[in-house]
Order: sequence, then structure tokens, then C-alpha cells
Amino acid sequence: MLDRKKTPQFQTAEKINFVKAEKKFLDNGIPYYYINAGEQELVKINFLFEAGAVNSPNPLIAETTNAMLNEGTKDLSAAQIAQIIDFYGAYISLETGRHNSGVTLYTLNKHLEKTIAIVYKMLNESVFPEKETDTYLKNEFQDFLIDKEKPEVLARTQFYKTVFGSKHIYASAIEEHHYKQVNKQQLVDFYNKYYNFSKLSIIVSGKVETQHFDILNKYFGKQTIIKTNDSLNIDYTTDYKPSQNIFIEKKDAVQASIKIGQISINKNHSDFIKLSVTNTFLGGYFGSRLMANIREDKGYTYGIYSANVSQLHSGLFVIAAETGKEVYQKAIDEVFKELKIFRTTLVKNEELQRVRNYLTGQLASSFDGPFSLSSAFQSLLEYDLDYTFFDNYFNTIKNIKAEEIRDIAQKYLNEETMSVITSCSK
Amino acid sequence: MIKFDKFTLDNGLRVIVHKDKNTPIVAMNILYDVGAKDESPDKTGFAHLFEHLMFGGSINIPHYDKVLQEAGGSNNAFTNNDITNYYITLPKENIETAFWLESDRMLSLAFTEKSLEVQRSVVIEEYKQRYLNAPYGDVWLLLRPLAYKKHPYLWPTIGKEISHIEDAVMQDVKDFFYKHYAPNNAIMTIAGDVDTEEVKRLAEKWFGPIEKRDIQERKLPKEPKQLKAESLTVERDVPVNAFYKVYHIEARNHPDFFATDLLSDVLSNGDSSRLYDKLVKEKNIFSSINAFLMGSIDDDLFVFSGKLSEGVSYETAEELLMKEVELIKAELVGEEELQKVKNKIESKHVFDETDVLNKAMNLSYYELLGDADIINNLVKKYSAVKVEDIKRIANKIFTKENSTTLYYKAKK
Repeated sequence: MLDRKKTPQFQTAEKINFVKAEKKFLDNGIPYYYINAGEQELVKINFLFEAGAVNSPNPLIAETTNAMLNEGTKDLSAAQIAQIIDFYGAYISLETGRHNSGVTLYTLNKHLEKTIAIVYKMLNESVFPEKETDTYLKNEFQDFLIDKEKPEVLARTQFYKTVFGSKHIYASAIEEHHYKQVNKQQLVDFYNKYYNFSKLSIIVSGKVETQHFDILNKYFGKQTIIKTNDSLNIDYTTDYKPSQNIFIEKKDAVQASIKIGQISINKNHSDFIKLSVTNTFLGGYFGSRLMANIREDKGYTYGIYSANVSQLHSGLFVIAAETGKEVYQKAIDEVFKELKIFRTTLVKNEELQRVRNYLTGQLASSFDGPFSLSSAFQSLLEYDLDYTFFDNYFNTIKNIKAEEIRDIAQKYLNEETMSVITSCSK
Repeated sequence: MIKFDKFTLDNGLRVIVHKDKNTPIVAMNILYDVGAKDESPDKTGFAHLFEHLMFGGSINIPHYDKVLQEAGGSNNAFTNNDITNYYITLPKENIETAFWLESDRMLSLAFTEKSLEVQRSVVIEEYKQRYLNAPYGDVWLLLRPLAYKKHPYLWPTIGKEISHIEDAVMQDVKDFFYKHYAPNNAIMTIAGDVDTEEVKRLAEKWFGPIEKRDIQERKLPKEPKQLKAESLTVERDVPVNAFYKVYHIEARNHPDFFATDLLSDVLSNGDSSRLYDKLVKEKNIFSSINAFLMGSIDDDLFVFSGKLSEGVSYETAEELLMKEVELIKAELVGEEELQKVKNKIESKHVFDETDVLNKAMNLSYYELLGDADIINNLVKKYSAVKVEDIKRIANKIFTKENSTTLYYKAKK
């Protein structure tokens, strides 16, 4: 007779095998990383530049320069670029980060050379036509206005200011006046300075063939690159003062957006992995304590999570939820209760085992398939870390003790030092 | 080419197995053939509320998530107007945990009052977060009942109004379960490094004992042909004027589907598409404009949705959009233009194959449409569409009397 109450046997991986990135250099020294995995005849190619938002006083410039890369080159109009990329069934995505920006090309292998030729022009011969720039900025401004209506956006913007200090570069948000201050020359200057091949890394993932290197080398490896010494003197000193009741009014909002948190550590800190595992218990997965209490027991929210977010020069800890307008204070009280319990009592073995197994499964998933492998690798590259980071992570998952979790919680998760920001109608 | 095996248990559960030996992860997808369209008009939002309750403990297993997480797995689910779809990914060694969990909640739920009470509040918060507190969140609450008069697509998955969710009682929940949740109303797909024989053994072991249930044949009212144009103007506290126009089109299984889908692609898929090129880039009448199919299984809708650029009137915006529509009705699209959107579809198809969960979901879905093998013929079907088909479809659907328009105005 089948016993449905009995859990079937399950295993947890003792070792996780995955394909690692290999490194080569193009003829001119541009680093070329490749991850050969997957069966489908396709690749994703990341062209990463140190051209993030921190490099421009007006944060919109980095973003606009990046977004305009497919809007016209010396000999191709925006429409022609779109036409060619679309015709080969390829896809280009443009991303701006705080420190890095990039172009990602997804293409079938059979069309690789034709599509790379276009990306080469984008990265080498972009002209930033005025009409396209104006249209882009106008459209972005509309999106900006829509975003500004969201309580979540209001709370998040304020949260960054509170955590890093309002002058800090990580707190700088795009504001209305920035849209009026972007001109073509700034984009051209930013492009020339930061989309410079000396600041480029290339990562190819998918079914990588040897001729892929040759093609990339043909386009990107021939030009002599000049290393420029233009490191910016950015002051990353943070200025955090806890503030427990910041309220941002948003007229007619039927829900409150809550952010609770503080300044924290980043990936380069020796406690980071432990804190990351510790956070999982609190609010890092669906079965977390915050979810169990505030969603599954009280029904105050559709979702609540917590995370320790790493930035290159700092880090932050955040607990976030959208709750019913009438219950947000109760939700905050419950969060504080959970923090206190977490710091003062040891996690039981059953919960410890569950989180260990869950994280082991998650880690295995993060190496599943070429694109996941590529993301995992990129998360190391930015911080100048190597694959031992994942070995350490895996060992921490396997071996962390209840006492260590409590100690980490006591060190990093204190409600007295946290700020609380709420955006809602009065 | 996605190879698979297919078998049916005695209780009617359809099982599809796809072997992909390149991944340590296995995906289990269970599609239940029940969606918001199966709700009664005075108890809408129920299929979706029910999806939440499926995580509130089953007859033998009080905590679904906990045990799955112990086995290193994760899961989620979604509901739409047609189906309710549940999925799990976990390390392949632990696949039996997925069979155990899913079979138990197909057998019966715990039906606790606490779970109902909590999930009612959670869903109400979801309603507010996604439909009331978000700019333009209520668009489909407005558009659906305007475009549909009879078919239950006239209400959104989340429900017509919050009170329907507030009023849900345990008896409703139980009735809904036994009416729709059954092995003979579900399609399960397992994808990953698995063998069909092993899957068969596990399926027989865990799902085999569940009895077949009496599933009533679905009798939904057919949407009558629309005879006159509908429109509605609303004012909301949003920063930008938005515009929506929808047209009735054939059901998903109609042979015209492929040409209709490509018609929407020619108009708006990618930066080189007509609407983006003409109306966003060249004239900047819209800051964004899209044309797409809702993707419903029964009588579907073709949708135009756009945000107007600042200073552009609704009259101008609509006139210029309609000019593009008239153009595609009057003149054949270019051969190369059509080839381009076909290439995009082929490429997307290859990219979709990199993900084991994606494949599992798709196989279940196409089996529901009639045969999982449809997935392997899609590219061929799209290829067969001719430029004349695009023109024919455009003329068939883009008529004034077949249109419903929503002017969603920013309050000044």
C-alpha cells in the first residue's frame, strides 16, 4: 500500500559539476572568455565596457549613450540596423549598469558573422543622430513620468538616498531636469571615452566553435588599443544615518510600498557568503520566515522578500513588500518581531536542512544551460573574483552552523540600525 | 525537433516525456484544463484564487513548499483565462518528490479554513498591487467587457471585482476542485535527463491510484459576431494618454492563426517593424506602440496598444495608426519583410529549446491544443504563410464594426 504521508527518498548533491569559462586574448589584448555548453546552434555574446552610470555626472548620459548604440552608424541608419538584425532572427539587448554597460547579441551560429559585423559598427562607428536622440529622450521621459507614479519607485529612490547618503553616487537617480540637459556632444564624448576597446571584455556562451574566436578577432582584434589612465576620483564613502519613519505621500495609492534596511557589505567581504545564506532563512525564498508570517499567515501582502545586494564599492540590505494600506504598520511590526526572533534563537535543524537543500538546488540551477553559466561567470568578473567563490558558497551551504547564522544575524540584522521608508496615500 | 513519448494512464492522465540529457535539472509541468472562462459570472477570479489554495496543503502533505525546498526544488504556477499551469524544477535525482507532491494535491486538498482566509487576503493584495495600484492597471478590466458580450473572456483572470474573491466560501472551493481537478483533466510533462520507463513506473505508482472524475463537457457561449464599433473614454490619474484598439479574430486552432500572428509581427515585432518605424521613430506620434494577439484559445483578440507622445491628439494618433492598417489591407507586404518575421520565429524557436522548463510547458500546452507534436510543425506552418494571406487576414479582421477602442486619458 502506498504511504502518501511518507516523503520519498531524496538526495542532495555532494558536488556540483559545471562548465567553466576559458580565457583567451584577441590579437590586441582584448580579453575573450568563452563558455562552451548546450546543444542548440546558437550563442550569446556579451560586449562589456566599463561605461556605467557612475562615469557621468548626469546619470542619463551613460544610459542614453548605450541605448543609442543601435540608432545609427556612419553608414547604417537605425532602420537599416534593425532591418538586418531582425532579418537574421538575431536579438540585441542594451544594458547600462552602475559600473559597466554592454551590448548583448543573441544569434544563431549560422548568422554569426553577419550580425557581429553590425555590432562592430555600433561599437566603433555610432553617430548619435539628433532626431533619433530627441525621440528616444521624449519617449524615455514619458516612461519616467509613469514610473514616478508608482509608490514602489518612490520608496526605492528614497531608500537609496537614505542608505548611501543623498550625495553618494549610488543614490543618484534620474530626475526630470536631467532630460533637458542631454545633448549630442555629451553622448559622443562619453562614447569616445568609455566605449573604447581598452575597456572591453567579450564573453561568448552557447555552442562556441573555434571559428567564433577568429571572427571576433577579425573585427575587434586588429585595432591597436591604447590604455588610457582616466580613473575617476569618485568618493565612495557612505554616510548612513538610520531613520525609522520616512513617509512619502502618494495620493490615492491603495497599497503601501515598504522598504526596510540599511548599509551593508558586498561580495568582496569575507562575511558576504554567510550573510547571503543567512538571509535566505529570513526572506530569501518562498518558504522564508517573512513570507511564512506576513503573507502565508497574515495575508498582508502578495509578496515580501529580503536581500543583501552587492554593489562594487558597497552593499545594502533590504526588506521589501507592497502591503494593504491599512496594515502596513502591522507588517512593519511583524518584520521587526521576526528580526528579533532570528537574532535571539537558533534555527532548528529541520529549517537548516531545508535551506541547505534548497540553496544547493538553486546553485545547481544557476549553472544550468549556457546562458545561466554566462551570468554566473559575469557575477564573478565584475568583482574580480574567481570560481573559488562558488566553492566557498557551496561549502558554506553545506557546513554553516546554527550558531554562525545567529552570529551573522546579530552582526548585520539589527532593527535599531535599520531605516524604514513607506510610500502610500495618507 | 523536440522528441517525446506520450502515454495515458487508465484514469485518463496524459503524460509526455521529453529526454534532454544536457541538464542536471528536471522539470515537471502539470496543466489543468481549467481557467477563468470556466467560472460562473457571479464568482469570477476563482480559478486564480484556487491556484493559490493549491499551495495551502494537500490531504497527506501539510506543507507543499517546505518539502519541495528540502528536495532542492522550486515551483510556481500561473492561471489565465484558459488554463491553470503548475510547474516544478528540481535536481533529477529527486524527481520522485515531484510525483509525490503533485499526485497528492491532485488526489485531494486539505481544505483548511485558515488557508482560504489567508489566500483570500493575499489575492486581494495581488489585485490591488497589479490592477489598482499600478498605472494603467485596470485597462483589461475595462476592455474585456467592452469587447466580449457573451464569452466568459469578458472578465479578467483576477476577477471582475474584489467582492467575488471576498465572498468565496469553502463549499465553492470544494465544488471547484472536484469539478475541474482530475487526472482526466490534466496533462503532465516531464522534461530532463529521464527515461520514459522510469517515468511510467512513477506515474503509475503515484498518479495511477487517483480515480477518474466526472468532468462535464465544457459548453461556453460562442461570442456573437460584432456588428458595430464600440468605444469607451476614461480619465485616470496617469501622466500619459494611452490608446487601445482590439479586433476579434479566430480561435487558436483555426488555420488562419499563423498568418494572423505574422500580421502582428510585420506590424510590431522588432525595431524594424512598421508601426515602430513609422509611428514611433519617424513621426513620433506614439512613444510606444504594439500589435499583438492576446493568445487565448477560443475567440481571440488582435490588440493595438500605444502611449501617445506629448502634444499629440487622439484624432491624429488614431488616424495615422489607421493609415498603416489601411495600407496593409490595400497592398501586399514585401516578400523580404515577411521572410524577416518568419526568420525571427524560427530563431525564437531554437532559443526556446535551450530551456527544459520552457519545453515542458510548451509540450503540455500543445497537447491541450490537440497534439504535443504541433510544436515540431510550427516553423513549417509559419513558413507556408504567403504575402497574400497577410493581406486577406488584414481585410477580414480590420473592419470598423469589428473594433473596440479605449481612450485612456490622463487627467490634467
